[in-house]
Amino acid sequence: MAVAKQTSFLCNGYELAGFLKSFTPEAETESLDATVLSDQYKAFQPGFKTGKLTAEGLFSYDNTNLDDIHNIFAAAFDGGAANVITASFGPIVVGEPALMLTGPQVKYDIPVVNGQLIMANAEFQASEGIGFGYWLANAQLNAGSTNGTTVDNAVATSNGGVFHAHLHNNGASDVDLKVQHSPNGSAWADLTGAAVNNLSAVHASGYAVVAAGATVDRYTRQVSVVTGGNTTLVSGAFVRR
Amino acid sequence: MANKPKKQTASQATKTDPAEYVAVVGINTSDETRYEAGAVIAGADLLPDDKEAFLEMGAIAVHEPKKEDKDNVEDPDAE
Repeated sequence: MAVAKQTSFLCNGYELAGFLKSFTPEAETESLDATVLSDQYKAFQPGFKTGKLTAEGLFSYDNTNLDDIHNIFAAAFDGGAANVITASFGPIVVGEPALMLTGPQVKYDIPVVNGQLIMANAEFQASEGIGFGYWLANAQLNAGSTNGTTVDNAVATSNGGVFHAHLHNNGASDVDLKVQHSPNGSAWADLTGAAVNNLSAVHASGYAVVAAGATVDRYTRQVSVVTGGNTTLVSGAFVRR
Repeated sequence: MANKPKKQTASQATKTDPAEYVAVVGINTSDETRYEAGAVIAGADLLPDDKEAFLEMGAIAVHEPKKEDKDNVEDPDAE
């Protein structure tokens, strides 16, 4: 059993856990009717998999810092197809599960009911499904290169993956993040494709896809290179496919 | 008969332990030495365990022999 407590919800580099009451990831598979004349019962085959995530929050906005829930959800709705959402099921700990979704925000509603708290609710559609990955980093970093804690997956996998990165920049001019992998936990190689580079704006985020069919070795870690500033909060997660 | 295993060992050693490797991607050895992609690394600079791990990952590849070793092939063009 697990109780949701001190959960994180990172959306495009912003922590929205201070506004949200709940979020619900859903995964679905299309059901294709494969019934033929000789069948006695309906037959079905699974089709494409998809996923979506709904989030329910308390409405709030900040016209100065532009970092409250309305600012973020409204910008995500207007903004585009590649919103990066990475959420936890408790305090973020390296090696613990991360819920990962990349895709457009397809719905944003603000229910206003007399005498009730005003809500801010959003729905995100996953472009390539919802990933159940693991946190690789969540730390204040000084300028320089930092090798993150090793995450052991027990076995290597062979179908690529997705890397999510969020940055709460406090002065750095350039932050480059990447995933390294290793078969033995001591000799590390850059995981081809798993790099998010040139993050410099406050609350920057990004994602990178490791090609399907690519081997990801048993151990992974995040390498963070911070240039030009200190105390930069960096969060990253990786999901294997 | 007794020589056969020795011959195999020797030939395997030359195949898997050449003088130079090239980094296919950026790598960090277990003593945290960093080699960027494309760097040529002397075999002696890599620990055996690192070498094995990097080869398994495809992170390093055997560096092609230098010109001197390929003189026989390139000579016709040169002449």
